[in-house]
Amino acid sequence: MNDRNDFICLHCGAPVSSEACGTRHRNHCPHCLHSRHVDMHSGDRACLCRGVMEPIALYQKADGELMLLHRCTVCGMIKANRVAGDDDPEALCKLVPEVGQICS
Amino acid sequence: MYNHQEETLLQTYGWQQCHAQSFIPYQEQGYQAYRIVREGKGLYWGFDGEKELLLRRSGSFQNREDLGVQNPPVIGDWCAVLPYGEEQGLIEGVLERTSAFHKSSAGDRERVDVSSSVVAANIDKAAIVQDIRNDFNLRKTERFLSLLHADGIPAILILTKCDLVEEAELYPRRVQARFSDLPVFLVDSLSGKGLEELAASLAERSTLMVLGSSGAGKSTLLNSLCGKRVAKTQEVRSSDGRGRHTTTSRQLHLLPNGALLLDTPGLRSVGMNTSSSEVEDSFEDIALLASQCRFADCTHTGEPGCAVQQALLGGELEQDRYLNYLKLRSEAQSWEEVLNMRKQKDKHLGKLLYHYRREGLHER
Repeated sequence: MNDRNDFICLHCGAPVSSEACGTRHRNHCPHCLHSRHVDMHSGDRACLCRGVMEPIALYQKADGELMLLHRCTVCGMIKANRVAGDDDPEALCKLVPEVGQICS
Repeated sequence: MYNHQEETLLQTYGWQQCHAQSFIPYQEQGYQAYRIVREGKGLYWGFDGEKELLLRRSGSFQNREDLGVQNPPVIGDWCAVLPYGEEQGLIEGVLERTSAFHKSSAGDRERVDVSSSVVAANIDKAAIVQDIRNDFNLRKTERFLSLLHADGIPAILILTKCDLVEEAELYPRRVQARFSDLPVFLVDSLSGKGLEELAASLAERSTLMVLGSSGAGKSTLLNSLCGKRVAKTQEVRSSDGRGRHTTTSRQLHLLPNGALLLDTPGLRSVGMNTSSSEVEDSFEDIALLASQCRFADCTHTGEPGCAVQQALLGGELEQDRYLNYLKLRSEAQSWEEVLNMRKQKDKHLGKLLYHYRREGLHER
């Protein structure tokens, strides 16, 4: 880890590289899918909240793109982030209970 | 006419061409120009670069004021003064203002006799001062910006006591995510951090008015910029970090770099004394979105085809900014209603008086 945007996940402690497949900005941990409330607009790092954001849902846009919904545990803000190509499939499945049952 | 040396002295205190023009009729009658540099408890002090006088309004000035054809003088005003005695003068007229800042208090909605009054004149720029730890509030900043925008006064934001928070540099970034054009200065008045950059941004002979809540650090900032104690200060309350209303009068100070700083008492509340259209104009991003709404009179509160709501859902518009916009607009609308009620009341009274004068008191 030598890029200044690399980080250690606050939730699971895993080291995370800033490079992510399928999205310009790494905005959540690919292992536990948790994020941190640091942006007002994507990548600006202007938010003062800095709370941990938990993944609450997965949804598919009309164009087929998979999006992850996060909710901040401090201020309650809900944000949508694109699913990255290296996100843990099991963690993603757990967000969709019916699919999770099939996978397990 | 003033000679060059006298004119230069006046210019040090913000004298401009428009003031010189409006002063010509008074000069021919032997008046002198003084700028009101201190105001408090009904008294005024004027300064012309050399001498300070205690000023009061002349009889004819007060008469014109009572008739409603003369604005009362406020701090920052250039006045035509007739000196008398050693240290006193009579104000005969107020010269043309380049700008005027109006203020009313929130919570005055029920009173029909409330007025939004000019509290300062000839202001070139306003600084919204906030204590970064206890007083940082984007909604309040937005409120100030809306008022200043209505008066045509550009603004800057000064965040004081930046040594009391970690990662203080995050705060300007947060502000600029919401107000991309607003210059933000991080200062620590006690250690001097950030003061040089702030002083460099103040033009010589320009007047900066500092606004903010009690305890924000306005007077401490002034003392640090002057390099000496020119204003009284006190520590904030330990229980909640709020101020003790130490500054009780408005005063104009000349800084070492040639700029002028107007120190004001802390504001308890700031009411919207502008029209709703001026509030809408001050939210430029929302105004731009509003032009794309399906309906021209869209109120952005749920109408179909509302571009503002769409931007909100898409994350392009901050929810807090949108909610504050609705709140300020609603306050401005109720202010307009108050003004209309007052106008109706005056009109009704005027008609009644006219009728009595014309028909006589004994008839109806």
